[in-house]
Amino acid sequence: MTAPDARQGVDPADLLALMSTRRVVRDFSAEPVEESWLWMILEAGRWATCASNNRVHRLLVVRDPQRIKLVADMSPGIFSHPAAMVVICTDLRAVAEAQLQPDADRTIFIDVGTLMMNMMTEAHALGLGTCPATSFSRSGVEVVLGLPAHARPEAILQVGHASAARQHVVSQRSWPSRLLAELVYWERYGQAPPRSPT
Amino acid sequence: MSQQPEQSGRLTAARESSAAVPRERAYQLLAHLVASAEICVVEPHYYGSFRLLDAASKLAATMLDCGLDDPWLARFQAELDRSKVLMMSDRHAFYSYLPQASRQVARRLLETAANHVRDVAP
Repeated sequence: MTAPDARQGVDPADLLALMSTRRVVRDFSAEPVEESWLWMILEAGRWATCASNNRVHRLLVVRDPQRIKLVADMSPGIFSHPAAMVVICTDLRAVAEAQLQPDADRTIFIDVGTLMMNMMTEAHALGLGTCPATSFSRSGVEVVLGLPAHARPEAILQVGHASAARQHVVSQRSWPSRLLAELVYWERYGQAPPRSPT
Repeated sequence: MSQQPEQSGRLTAARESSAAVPRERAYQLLAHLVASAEICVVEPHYYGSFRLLDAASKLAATMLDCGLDDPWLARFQAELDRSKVLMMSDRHAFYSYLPQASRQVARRLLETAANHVRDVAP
């Protein structure tokens, strides 16, 4: 007996539309994020693809406004205070257990990206704004969050409702975006695809 | 070279009033600067200029929020906030803005210096 195909309920065109309408939000309102939504976002992160299924990352949720402010203070790449942050940490104990080389194995950071993307897509589906940040003082964030020595902060996902001003900007602005034809080569590096993508 | 005490006293008397900066705001700026110093080592070089413009904007905002009455500074801070984000959308315009900003500050320094000389002149 064939297992039911869970993809049946998802229209690929709808999924593409969802992904293509996500934008980074850097200006958040003070409106809190519902906890059940936060869990859905975290669940999306849990299902992110991961090298060898090693699962060496841990997700630290920060909702306390004072702690969010302190993290933002140590993060020049964070421009407003979101309702929540998810700090993606590499757990160095898990890394050792998986016998990975923490500073040489690129999959560790690639997996940060897959986690981040899944969570941002889910947040966007929920109508929330997100912004990933890597421009922070790792040492400073370790201190203000009281991280143990085996937790290495890799990236911070800001989650919240976009400010009203930001919602206006999103509808008005269209940043230049590269066309697919500029990004894709076919069979050989530098060779254009046989047809222009639509 | 440090100023002589009596000269410093005259300068203080002539200086325009400004409010004290709360420690929390000063520490925020301090945190921004030292965190930027750490991450600028690994970020693209133009981020360094961006971080400094951002810090300049934060400094201006702090001074204005603390009661400094300076319309020029308010205008300049708004301009900084508009222009710093060009780093992401139009890098050529961002680079062009940097010397413009310096020129504006330099002219402002000249103006304030001239006012100061006039104010302290016997």
